[in-house]
Amino acid sequence: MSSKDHNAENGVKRREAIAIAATALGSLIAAAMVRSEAAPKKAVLRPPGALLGSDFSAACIRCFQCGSVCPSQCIQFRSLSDGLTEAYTPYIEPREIACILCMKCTEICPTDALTPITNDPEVIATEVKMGTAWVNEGLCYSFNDRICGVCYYACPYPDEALRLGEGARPYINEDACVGCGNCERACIHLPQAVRIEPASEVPS
Amino acid sequence: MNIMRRLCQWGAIAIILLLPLISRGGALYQAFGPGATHVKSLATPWEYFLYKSYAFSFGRFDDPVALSDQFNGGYWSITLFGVTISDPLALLGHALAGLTIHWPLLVGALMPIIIAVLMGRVFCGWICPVNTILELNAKFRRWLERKLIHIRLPTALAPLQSRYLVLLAGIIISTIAGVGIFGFILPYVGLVRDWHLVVYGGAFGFGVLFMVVLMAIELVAAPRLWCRSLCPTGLVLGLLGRKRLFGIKPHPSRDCLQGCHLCAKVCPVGVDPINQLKTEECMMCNACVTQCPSDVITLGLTTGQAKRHSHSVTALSIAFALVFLAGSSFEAKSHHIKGLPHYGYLENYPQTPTFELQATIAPYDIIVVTYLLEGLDKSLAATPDDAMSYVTITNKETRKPYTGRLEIEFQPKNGSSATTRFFLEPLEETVYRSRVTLSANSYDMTLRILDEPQRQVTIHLDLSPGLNWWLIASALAAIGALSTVILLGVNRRHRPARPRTQ
Repeated sequence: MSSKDHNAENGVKRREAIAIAATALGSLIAAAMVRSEAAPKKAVLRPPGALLGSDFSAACIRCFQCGSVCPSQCIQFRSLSDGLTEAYTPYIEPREIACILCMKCTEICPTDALTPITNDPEVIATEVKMGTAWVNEGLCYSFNDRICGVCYYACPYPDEALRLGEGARPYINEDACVGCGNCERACIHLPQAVRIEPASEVPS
Repeated sequence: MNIMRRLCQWGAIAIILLLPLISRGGALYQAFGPGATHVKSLATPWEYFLYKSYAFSFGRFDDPVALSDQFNGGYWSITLFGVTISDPLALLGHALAGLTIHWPLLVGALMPIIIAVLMGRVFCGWICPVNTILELNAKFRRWLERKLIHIRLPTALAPLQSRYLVLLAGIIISTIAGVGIFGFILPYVGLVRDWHLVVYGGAFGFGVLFMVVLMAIELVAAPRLWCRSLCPTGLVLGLLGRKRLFGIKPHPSRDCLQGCHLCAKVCPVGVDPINQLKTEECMMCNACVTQCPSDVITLGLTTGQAKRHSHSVTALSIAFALVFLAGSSFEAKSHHIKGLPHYGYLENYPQTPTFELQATIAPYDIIVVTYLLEGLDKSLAATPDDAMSYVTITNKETRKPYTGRLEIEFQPKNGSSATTRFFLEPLEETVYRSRVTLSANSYDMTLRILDEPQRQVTIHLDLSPGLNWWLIASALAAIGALSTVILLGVNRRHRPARPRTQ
């Protein structure tokens, strides 16, 4: 091998080293950017059995199978503008369509980002905690002397999670509420007087 | 052989296009089909079409809804006959992001991995829709050069090693950011994702945009850039298949024409097929096999002891078929909880807010909910073209609403001083409502709580149908990264071309 070839070979090696270093540096910067925008502005309601916070965005591979298996079509996907950690992860907007607690999404999830839960009303009552409903008493018709009570008839666990008091006033039992959002969807007030507060983004 | 490959490619595309339609059709069948309570007339024409097609195709089966549960997903993770198969890169990204290995996911990725070990990049050449599209793109490029513009288009060849850089970047970002990043950039994943979003009522997004940009770059500057030099899936599958049993091989008795070497010219991934038989680049696309003038290159088992291995390959194929059959014989276990309330409408009109803005001034929580009356029969609405915004202010500590006076001010962002201001008293249920006509613009909406200690908060209200800058910025970044790789590859290190002699 002549010395000219040798130099050329060295040049290629240097070029490769530069390319690897530049890629590593660039991806470190990109990763730092992704991490820095990670704090979500607003917690969203995840499908049942979902891991919390960053555990979920790490475990979810964005395969969309939960959304396509969902019979009520309540599972939607966040968009790229919500940041890379959130993009294409599933969420539920209960005001549009609420979860019917069929647990099909937890069964199909290939990574257990949605922990498998048996489709049995008693198991669901103890294991599902998507969020907690709370009643805004200033908005609720029943608290303003107009008897309504629609949320009670939408609740999958009536009298346990949501009971009606005097004048059909709804009272939530925060421990029994699974956060499915059927009450919020059923609420006839605009804007909804009963709302789901998504499960805390901080792992318990 | 080439006809089989075309059938595979287009069949794979057809399956992937059908899967979301089947899933959504099954859900709609459950909503509108026999025994359901949803009102058909509230379905959109698209939903009604999907429901009707599904009922026509699968309505005769025993349990059409359970059938749709067994077909799901896309290339990234697919469920066929109840068996879930995942992409090896999904496994890699998931393992790096969470620093764990999830065994069911590994089992799901096993089949693609074994196929890659036996047959190399056969996924690329025979299934991947991006390769199918880009092959046509390259054909179009050649047609342009020959028939239309009569000049050679520039041909920048990025080095094959660029794929290692893409894989390296993906590994670093996935590990540090805690998000499996591969699925965001791989165009075959993005295309399926966008198609899913479209079927479910969304719009095409980044996946299609990326693909269009890629096609444009490959058309004018760098043919077969992605599959040759960038695709990390191709790299991983190729590395797995270095010792593959199936691939291109020279015919035992035929010889090359002197000085021909057409195979190296037609190879889309820059392999010199006759001299390098077991490279990790070859994706069994058949180009060299069909183009070879003396039929020297064939596709088949690559070992001398063909018989023994053909047995093992047959045994493995039978094993796979059995796995599929076993999987498809599982009954769908999940069923609907009976007795849950169902409502007779899918679109929860008009309670679906168009957008919702939130702000906090301790201890108050402010929600501005805006409804455009799009879902309604407009002839019934009193003010059909107005949007309705409702402001609710709740004391987070006592969970009681604020019922004092409120001032709302709209300040246009474009510098004009046409400020609109309201003083409001709460309505009966303590919602603040007012009517205002605003033109499409960006506004700063300032809410002032006038009672007790005065507080104010400004909420940004965007009514302009603006461009999605994030999407455009991402596409530009992608183009930038691609051009960098092309520039890095300016030294075209062709492998020395030695025609095979006897």
